[in-house]
Amino acid sequence: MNVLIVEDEAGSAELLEVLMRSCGHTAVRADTGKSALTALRETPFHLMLLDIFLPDAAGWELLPLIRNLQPDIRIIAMTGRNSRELERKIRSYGVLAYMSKPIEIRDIRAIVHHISQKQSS
Amino acid sequence: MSCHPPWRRDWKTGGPLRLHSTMQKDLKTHVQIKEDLAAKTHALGERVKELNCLYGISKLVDQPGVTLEDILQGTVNLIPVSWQYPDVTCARIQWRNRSFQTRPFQETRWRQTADIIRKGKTEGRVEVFYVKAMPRLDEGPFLIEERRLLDAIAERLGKVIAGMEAEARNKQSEIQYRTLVESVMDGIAILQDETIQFVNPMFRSLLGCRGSDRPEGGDMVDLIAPSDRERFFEARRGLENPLSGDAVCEIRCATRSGDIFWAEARLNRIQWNGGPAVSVMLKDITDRRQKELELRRESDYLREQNIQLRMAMKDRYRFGDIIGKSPGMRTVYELIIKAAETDAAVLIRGESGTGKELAAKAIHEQSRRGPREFVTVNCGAIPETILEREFFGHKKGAFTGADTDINGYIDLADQGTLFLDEVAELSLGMQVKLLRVLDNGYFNPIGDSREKRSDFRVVAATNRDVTHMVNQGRIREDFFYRIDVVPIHIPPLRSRREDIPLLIDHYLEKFDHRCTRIRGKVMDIFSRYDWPGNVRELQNVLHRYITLNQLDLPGARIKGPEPRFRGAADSANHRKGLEEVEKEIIADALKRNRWHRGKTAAMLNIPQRTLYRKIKKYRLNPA
Repeated sequence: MNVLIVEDEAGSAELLEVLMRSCGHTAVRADTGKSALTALRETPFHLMLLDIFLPDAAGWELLPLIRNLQPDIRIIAMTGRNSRELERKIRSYGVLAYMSKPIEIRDIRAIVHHISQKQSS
Repeated sequence: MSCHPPWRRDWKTGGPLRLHSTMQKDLKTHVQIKEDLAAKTHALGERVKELNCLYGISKLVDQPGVTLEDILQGTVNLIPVSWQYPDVTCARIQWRNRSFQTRPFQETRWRQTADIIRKGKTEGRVEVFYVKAMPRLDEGPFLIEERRLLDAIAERLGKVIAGMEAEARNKQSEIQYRTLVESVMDGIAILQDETIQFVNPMFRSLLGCRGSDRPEGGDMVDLIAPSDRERFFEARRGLENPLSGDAVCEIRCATRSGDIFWAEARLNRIQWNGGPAVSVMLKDITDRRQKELELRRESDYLREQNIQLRMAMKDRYRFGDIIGKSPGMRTVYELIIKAAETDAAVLIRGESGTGKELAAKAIHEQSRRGPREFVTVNCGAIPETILEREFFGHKKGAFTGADTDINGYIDLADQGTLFLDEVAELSLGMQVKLLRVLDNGYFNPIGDSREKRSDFRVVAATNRDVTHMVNQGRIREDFFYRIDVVPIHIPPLRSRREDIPLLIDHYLEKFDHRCTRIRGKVMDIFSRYDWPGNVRELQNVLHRYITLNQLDLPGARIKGPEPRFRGAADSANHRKGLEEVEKEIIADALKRNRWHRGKTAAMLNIPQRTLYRKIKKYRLNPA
């Protein structure tokens, strides 16, 4: 599985990348919205880990563009702070999961495992 | 001798009055007559006394505000003068532990008594005493007439007492009634012969009476709007039937200032001041009627809408983005409308790609929750471990990875619709948890002891054979029945081939490819294919066909149609990526039209905004 990690905090991004690799998947990192969209234009991804608050864009601005580029991509949205309105907006784009940071490793692993299982069946 | 004057004649014989021979005899008769006369005069006197006594009692009773005690005392005082020997007569009336006597009084053995009887029971006694021995007459020293008088007095008193007690009771209940009536929240008026006898404060307030304005004495009918009077009379007539209970009618009434209000009038037969009367309970129902009118107007409006929708149903070939004119689809449209009328849970069944989510959205939009959130949960895509969290949310700090509160799907769906896609994928444990929320309306976010409420409507969808799964125990029966209240089955595309051309037309329009015409052999292939992926597959195949000019279906591999416009694409008659082709076509058209965007768009037969989008996408510029 090809995973796109969109996270501006280098430490977390690296952690997630290692995690993906350890599960046997390939991972690409992007630390801005712009670079994320570029990546999406070039390569198909199965899964995207998206940090809602990026330095150059907010999650709800990016999501419609993401959906346009790769309608079937699965998205896990991550956020350090939440409000009902924010959650409503983000979830309306059909994200697979909406998680509070810091992300639990085992949760990501469970999701990834679940997705790859479904794909093979 | 025959010349004697008449008074000197013996009236028996007509002859002369023989004074001498019958003198003694006549004298005796004369004396007797005188005595008789005296006796009779005396008797008459006594009669008069008797009458006087009884009359005296009557006068006592008729005095306004007289008490029973007054009457008994007064009566006892009337007795001595009505007896033969007033100076030696004294009397006593005893009644219910009370005693009324003349002054002076002395109990002796020369007495007459009579019992005061009420309802067959002795309640008291009237006694007359002579204080000293008197000559014996009919009854000891008493006359028969006196006996009769005493009996008459006792009887009279019995009646008077009964009468006064009844009056007291009436007065009591009248007071009770009045108190009740004063405090009641509805207006009450008592009518006797059309006239208002009594009103309570609420009635006054309803009528807008101020100060000394008194409706009493007026006619109830004057307060009722003329067109509603007949209704009031009819209710009143209904009361005449002794078997009927109360009578109710709704009438418009006018206040003193001329304002009209709707009232509910409840009529009852009652007794008032000893006579038949009608009580009218008045309640202001203007608000209620207003609401009823609004509700009726709204429900009429909705029914109208519904009827219109249903009529259009017969010729309907689409419902929003759902396309189809087949009977199967028409049934689906009907069911969508029906489901939208209530909050009942819906279970949409159908193969993959039949548009279950579209149907769910349509139900939501048509329902009263349309303006609110439509929350989609893909139950199959989310792993069990985080599913509960996604549904119910969690509180900050609930576990190590929780810097903030998460609300969850159920909270977000409050007031709106929750769409459970692939609902059959839910684990049994999750089914139980959801069932609990569905039944109770509240839930606990993870790590939160406080309950949260959510009012949401469930629409579920699945492509699995749920009945089979219930039998297998993979789906709980109680969960299944909870969500399968309104079942909707969307038939697969192969069961409704007549819908295929419509779908094709719809998508061509959607893809801005009206220039392409699908007909003949190609349409035949589209129509005959089985479409295991249903509408979604059709959409994808169609898209590939018009963009790549290639139709890829098992058993068919056909080259696409020539595009209507000729140009660069014609000469480049080999396979190119979609975007390269499109880019070339657009660039070419722009050049031909000297970059006049309007003309270019018209030539390509695409909307201008689409052209602008493409220009931006391919980074075309006049240079």
